[in-house]
Amino acid sequence: MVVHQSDEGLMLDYASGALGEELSLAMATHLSLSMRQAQQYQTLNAIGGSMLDDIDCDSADDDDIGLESVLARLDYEPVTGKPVSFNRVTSDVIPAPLRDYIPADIDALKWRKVGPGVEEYRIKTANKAAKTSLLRIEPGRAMPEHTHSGREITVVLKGSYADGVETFARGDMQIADASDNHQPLADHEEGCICLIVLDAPVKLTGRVGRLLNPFVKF
Amino acid sequence: MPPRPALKPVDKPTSDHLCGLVERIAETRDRQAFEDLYRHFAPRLKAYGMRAGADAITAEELAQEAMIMVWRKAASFDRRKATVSTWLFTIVRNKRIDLLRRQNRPDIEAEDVIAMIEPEIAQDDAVIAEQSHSVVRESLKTLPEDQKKVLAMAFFEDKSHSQIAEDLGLPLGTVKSRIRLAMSRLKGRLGKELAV
Repeated sequence: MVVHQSDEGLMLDYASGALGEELSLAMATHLSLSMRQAQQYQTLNAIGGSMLDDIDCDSADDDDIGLESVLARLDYEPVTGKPVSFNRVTSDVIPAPLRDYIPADIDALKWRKVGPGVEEYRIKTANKAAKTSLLRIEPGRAMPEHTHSGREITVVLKGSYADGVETFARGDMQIADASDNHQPLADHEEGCICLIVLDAPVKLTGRVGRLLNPFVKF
Repeated sequence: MPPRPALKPVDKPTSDHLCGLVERIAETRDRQAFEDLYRHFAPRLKAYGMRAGADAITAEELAQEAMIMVWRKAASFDRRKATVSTWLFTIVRNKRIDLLRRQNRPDIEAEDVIAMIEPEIAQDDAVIAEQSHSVVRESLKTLPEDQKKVLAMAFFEDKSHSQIAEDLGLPLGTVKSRIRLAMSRLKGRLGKELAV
């Protein structure tokens, strides 16, 4: 299955809080760049808000739910601010939720070469079974052909890529599952930067890919 | 110090009133406004935690931590974008994941969404946010039971849509189409009410 946008199941799971950190990061990044989807998300949040309004609660209860102790803490609570600042190039490409996951500007990140014209920056998250990366692909270059043993979610941040069937541009999200075998090709002029989240490791299937398999984790 | 009166939630505070309370916290660190909000929302937040499977003590901790976030993040509240209930729902949901699952949950901030749709918002957008909230609330009541059930399980029982399908003994496609129907119905209503 290949879709341009997140499906309604994934969207509900994100809004309700059922998704893990990595897929939530992909969704937050996608929604930051896609207005229509962001509005759908806001509708779901409004549903959550309405349900919270109407939730059964024991308000006759004498219990003050720790109001005193919370009031006593207020003066010591920091008021939030954003400490790290990024240059214009970075903030134009990387949406806010994803910026929290990178330590430096795009060009200052420790990119690792994973193929001809393809670089990867690994993003650290708590779950070791999932894999989250930024991928930077030079114009006209291809990713090694691969299939997945799990779901692969891609969100385009800059430029675009085509997978032989469709083209994905900034803000688009592609969800690929185990039945897909694809070889994304980056745009000929702009290349492509994207966020990739893998639920499980990718299997390389092309001839070169099979050779690379033991060494390349992608 | 004289003992405080027991929590007595204000009867049906208006959405406008609640917005004003958050804005007072943001502007002047108003503790009385915080107390009023606390009295209204803490019992709801605790109930939310218990519905998600937390015990009473953990659910209270969740309510407290969510309210602390209200104090810290009050400046990021924007009444043009969401009602206080919606904003608080997003806070308590993220806090629950942080507290119960020890996980981070990346989210979009209201200001990012606003930056994206700014040119489209009308001048009296606060009125629109308020209207759309009451429309959502009213339309929710008119949804068919099977659609409501799916939404309630998702929002209150910490279940993914595939777990919901499993629990209800339904094909995944059926659950997805219920979600889609519920959302398009709410959106349809929104469009109709707000087009005027």
